[in-house]
Amino acid sequence: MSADGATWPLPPVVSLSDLGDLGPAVAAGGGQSVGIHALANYPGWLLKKYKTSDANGGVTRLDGLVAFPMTVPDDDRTLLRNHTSWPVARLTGAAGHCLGCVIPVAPATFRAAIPIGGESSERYLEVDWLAKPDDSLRSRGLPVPSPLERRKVCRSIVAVAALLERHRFVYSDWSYSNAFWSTSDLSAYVIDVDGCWVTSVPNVFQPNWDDPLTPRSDRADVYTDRYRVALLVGRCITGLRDRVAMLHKLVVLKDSALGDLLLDILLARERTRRPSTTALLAVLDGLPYFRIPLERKPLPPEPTGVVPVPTVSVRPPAVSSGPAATGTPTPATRVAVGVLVGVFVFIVLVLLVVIFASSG
Amino acid sequence: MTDQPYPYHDEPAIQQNCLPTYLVIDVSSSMTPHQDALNSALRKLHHALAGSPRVSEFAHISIIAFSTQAWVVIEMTDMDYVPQMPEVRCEGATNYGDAFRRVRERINIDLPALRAQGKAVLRPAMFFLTDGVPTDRNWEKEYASLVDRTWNRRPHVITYGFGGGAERVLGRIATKAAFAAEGGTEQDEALAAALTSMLHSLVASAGAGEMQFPVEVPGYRSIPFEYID
Repeated sequence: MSADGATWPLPPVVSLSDLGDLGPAVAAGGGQSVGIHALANYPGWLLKKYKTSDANGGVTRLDGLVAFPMTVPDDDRTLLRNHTSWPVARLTGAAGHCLGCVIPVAPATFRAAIPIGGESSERYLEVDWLAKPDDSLRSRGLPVPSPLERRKVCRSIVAVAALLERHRFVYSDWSYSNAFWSTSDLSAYVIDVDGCWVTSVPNVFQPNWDDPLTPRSDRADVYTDRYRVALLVGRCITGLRDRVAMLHKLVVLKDSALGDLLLDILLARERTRRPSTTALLAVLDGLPYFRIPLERKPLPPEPTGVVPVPTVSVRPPAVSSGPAATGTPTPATRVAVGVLVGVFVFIVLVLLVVIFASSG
Repeated sequence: MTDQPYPYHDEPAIQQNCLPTYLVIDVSSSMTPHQDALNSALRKLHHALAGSPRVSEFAHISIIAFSTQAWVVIEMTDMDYVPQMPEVRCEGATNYGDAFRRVRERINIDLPALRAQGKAVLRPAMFFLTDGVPTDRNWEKEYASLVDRTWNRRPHVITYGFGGGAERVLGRIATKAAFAAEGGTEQDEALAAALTSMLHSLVASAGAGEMQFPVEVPGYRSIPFEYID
């Protein structure tokens, strides 16, 4: 279902000729995609073209994803349609491959004007802007979410994560850029979900989102997702992006149940012992955390360095002594030379007096 | 220091990678006709970096301007902490030696500070923009000290030149890439293209978690460089 409530009017498998003219690119390529285009003939829908055909089990996977919403209860289907860019059709070529997919345009409620350096640009508000301290948002003129508001956005993200986990889907790509949030209703919208599949998927590398217990060469699974979702929630709840600083903040979080649960997920010694996203959703809904004891790694030591406020200098510092780099004499040098000349003249005069006196 | 982050704990994955980046810009008197274009390009760079938290947290920037002497315009920081890009004024000679000396001095201050903040610090990158040849005679000594292979904090050096005369020097200074503006490129456009190239390099680096060097720049040609790393 698109932002205006319309359903996709074409079959679940389409060709480029079915779609007609492509509009301008709305996003550059990245990851498995070469670009995302508006569909001129189908407002509210986008075409995401893949770099390689049949990437990541293409045809079977995309057809499975497209059909999935019709197999789940109404509540789950509504969540998928309103809070994710769930694919509605596979793009096929002459050989029947998977060349891309059709996804909905994210609703306008997730857009906001972001003032930067005196200018303002409207864009989709990524959770990149939620995982920042209040001071940073305030200094930029952005709305500063209260702790309760941060929690509501996180709850919306985790609702999607819990749905995926319930149905054995693995996403892997949880990060700052793959979810938008709305300042008006505090909900979230998860994008790039066309990369999901059941049981395991390629472990997407994003700097600063590594799961320390999942080697990069291993596939991502439900335990990797639990870690990354907890990392995203921890960063958004605390506003701290540095992992170590965030962990220390969780220890003293006012909502100790949430802090404890996130620490269990993020510090569990065994990845298979990480509590589920369903448990995380329950705690975000205000239910108690029924903790099954697990062994945690110790907290890493907190860094001692302070982030400084940078100084800005538009001019070079004044030169205080010595000749300038260009060789121009300074006032001090001029005075010294003048004194020497004066002494020399005095000595000459004295000598002249002596000579005249001795000759007279 | 290698090109890999230095682990703060026994789990390198838990640290935030950080690329200390020095933008060293020629603000000598020959740049005066392009002062407005330079300041405009710097504002756009700031706008792009401050508008992307995940890029600015990875690529910390310090801006050093040089003419008769070199000075730090902005100390090493996440651009998110800089509300507005300051404006530079162009005047004076072209003292490469002081620029190199200043960069080396700042690296010795900035890198330990970033490590103390808990970051996994990558080898610094220096983007060097100039429109002319140096006017100081003994700059090579300061340059040699900056890129000395026995100094484990030596930066990668990427150079951009526009205007006449700088090409051979740019090739001598660069350690990773050197670009000279094509003959038909207006200098104002060349300035903007150089900073855009730097921005793209930083965005790609933030996405990869490690330094990604520019390969080609619109309006520029690559020039051979002499440094063997």
